[in-house]
Amino acid sequence: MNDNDMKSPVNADDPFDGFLRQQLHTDYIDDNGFAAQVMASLPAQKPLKPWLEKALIALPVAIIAFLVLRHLPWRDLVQPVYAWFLLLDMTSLISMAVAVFFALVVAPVAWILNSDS
Amino acid sequence: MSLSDQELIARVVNRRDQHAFAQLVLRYQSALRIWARRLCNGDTHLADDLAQETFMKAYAALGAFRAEAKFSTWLYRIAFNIAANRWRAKKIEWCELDENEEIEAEQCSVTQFHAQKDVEAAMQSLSAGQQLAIRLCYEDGFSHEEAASIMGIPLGTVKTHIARGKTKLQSLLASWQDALPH
Repeated sequence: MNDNDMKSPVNADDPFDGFLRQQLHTDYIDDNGFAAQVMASLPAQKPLKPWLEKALIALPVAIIAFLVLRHLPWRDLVQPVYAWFLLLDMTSLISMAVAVFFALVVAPVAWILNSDS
Repeated sequence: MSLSDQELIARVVNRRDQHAFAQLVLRYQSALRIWARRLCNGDTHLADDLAQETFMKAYAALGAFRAEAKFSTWLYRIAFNIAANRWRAKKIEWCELDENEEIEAEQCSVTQFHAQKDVEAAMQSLSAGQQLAIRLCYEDGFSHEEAASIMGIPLGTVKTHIARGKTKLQSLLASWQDALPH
């Protein structure tokens, strides 16, 4: 195979080639809904199952979080918090318990109820 | 900015992005429908049906498309295969439809119209292989190699088709050739 095989065989310098090319030209065909018809005939995309969609997002997030958390200096972080917790008075302790309860129970329940409605 | 064929194909293959495929359809619908009309001898309904089936097969097989060839060459090849299968099953009727004759006559100058009619008449006297090879190369600008790939025949056969077809056209269109600049 030579380079000429890869090029158009139409010789620009040949008047007959030019004539032939001009006469054989066909006008552009307007779409007129053809593309829409093709797209409608394609097989419908299968949506992922909801649990699989959530798993695909949650799995990498969980792995990355685990890798990050594994390298944290837990002992250095927990010790001062524990010391501060031991020094708290009763009022502060109750306020904190209410805040934690709200954060862990009430807020998720409210969010679920809201999303269901 | 419009994306290249390769980028659109990658989107379709990797994400099953139908919007990207719609852009490919819009880009190639005219060329493919013209090619399909040639394969169906001018029957626009059969041709559009063939073009639609071609796009559907292309969508299903897009993962197998290799960028070694042009996307248009690949599409033309699929259409040719479908048409060849229909010919074998005799689902395609060869007919002489020329519905747009009057419209064309009004749109073109008289000389241009007559030249076109004479060329078309001369083309009809060529074999189907010669017609398709000449149209692929002269009308669509494909190379010998691409035409061979589309028609599924050896490169030498395409060259022979074109050379013999052109010689015959030159003799049939001798009166027009005399008027051409030398």
